[in-house]
Amino acid sequence: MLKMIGIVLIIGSFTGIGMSQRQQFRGHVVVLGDMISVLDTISGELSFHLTSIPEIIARLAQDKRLPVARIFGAMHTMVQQDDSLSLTYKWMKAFRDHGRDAGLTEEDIGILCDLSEFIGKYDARAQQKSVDYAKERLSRQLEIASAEMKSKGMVYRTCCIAAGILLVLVLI
Amino acid sequence: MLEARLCEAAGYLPVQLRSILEQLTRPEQQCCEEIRLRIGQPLTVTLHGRERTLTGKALTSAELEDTLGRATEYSMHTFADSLRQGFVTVHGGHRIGVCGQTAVQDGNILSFRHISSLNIRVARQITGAADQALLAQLREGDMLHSALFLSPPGRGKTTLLRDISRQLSDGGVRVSLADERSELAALYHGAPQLDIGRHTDAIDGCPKAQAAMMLVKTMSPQLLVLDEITAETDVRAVEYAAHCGTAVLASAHAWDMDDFRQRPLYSRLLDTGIFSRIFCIEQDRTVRRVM
Repeated sequence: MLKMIGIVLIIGSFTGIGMSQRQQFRGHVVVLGDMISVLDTISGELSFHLTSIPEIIARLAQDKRLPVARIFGAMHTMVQQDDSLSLTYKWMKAFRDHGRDAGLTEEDIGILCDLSEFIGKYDARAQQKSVDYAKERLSRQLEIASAEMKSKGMVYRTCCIAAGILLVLVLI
Repeated sequence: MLEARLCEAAGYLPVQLRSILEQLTRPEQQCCEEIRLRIGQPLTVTLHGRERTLTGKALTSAELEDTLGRATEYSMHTFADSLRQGFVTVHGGHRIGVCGQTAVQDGNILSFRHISSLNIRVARQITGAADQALLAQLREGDMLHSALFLSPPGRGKTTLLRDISRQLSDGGVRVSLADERSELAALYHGAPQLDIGRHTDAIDGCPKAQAAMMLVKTMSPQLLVLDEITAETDVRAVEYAAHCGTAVLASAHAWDMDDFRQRPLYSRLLDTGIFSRIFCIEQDRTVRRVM
């Protein structure tokens, strides 16, 4: 009986490790999708309502998606502070401080930080172009992440299950 | 602690500059009309029409840009159109005039490349600027008369129009404001920053003529208020409103009736006979009926 429990525990935990690895890939894909949708929102607000950036940030801070709310919530708090720091700095700081926790890679964060050089500084059309460019770059990241999730995700899961089985066989 | 309206207007200054205004005494703060920032010069304020330099270091380009950045909420696109006209209206109805080097393409201003000076006009509502005698000339029972107010800049045309609108609106008249330069109601996030009365609707930031047409068609006002008739399209909007049975309250730049008659745009306005009352605002801000 104890042997059986041990086997189940070992295979289960190895499978869990594999699944969590796969989940990380999946999380990255999801958060990239969220960020692309955020850029769509910004683009729409810029083109149709000419909404101010702090107002857009405030709306995104209320977003139901956790990664979006986390990053833009922190940005919103900083924007509300009456200090001498620029919006560029606050935008970058929010992504640098919370991007990793939200599931973004350094490369994704870099793309979103590059946007801070344009956001709020030019007319709506120029800003939209920079948003579109960032969206294009993030879409490429998303393609890579999706391919990784399919290939590596599967490999991680299979390898971990196999490793679990192998360990069980060795122990037996 | 600065006086409330001045504090609100000064809120757009970088933190280190705000304390300079504390050099003003309380009565001076209460009558401070403008805060002026010029590159390479210390901060100045306008009191009773005269500039006074405050003790402090010379202002830098970064400080001016920071002030404009705060005023525009770091969103140039939102304020691009009004910036092209050289001003930004901010929360509280305060207006920031902008000067500097412009970027021009095909004869049109695209933006300000570098800012050289800013003028923060502290918005103060003068409740009761329009007295009962004046209101009696504009409203006789249910009858509203179309009226035009003439004066050179700085004599309080807008303040007077706003106060008349407020009082008539609170008295039950349905008023609509075509507030192109955000001076009458100064809407901020949709809410008027100045008291314009309980029965008043306003369109802000839209060309006057267009706003006037929209208001007449959609809000069926009893009184339409337009500040500063400056173009042919404004005259057409006044005609349109009058033909729809809406009384019109407007203002125009002119020293007096003779000056007014000499201007081709206004002579056409006179010919229409829409305005049954014309008033001049004198230097001491008294209002004199001239027609």
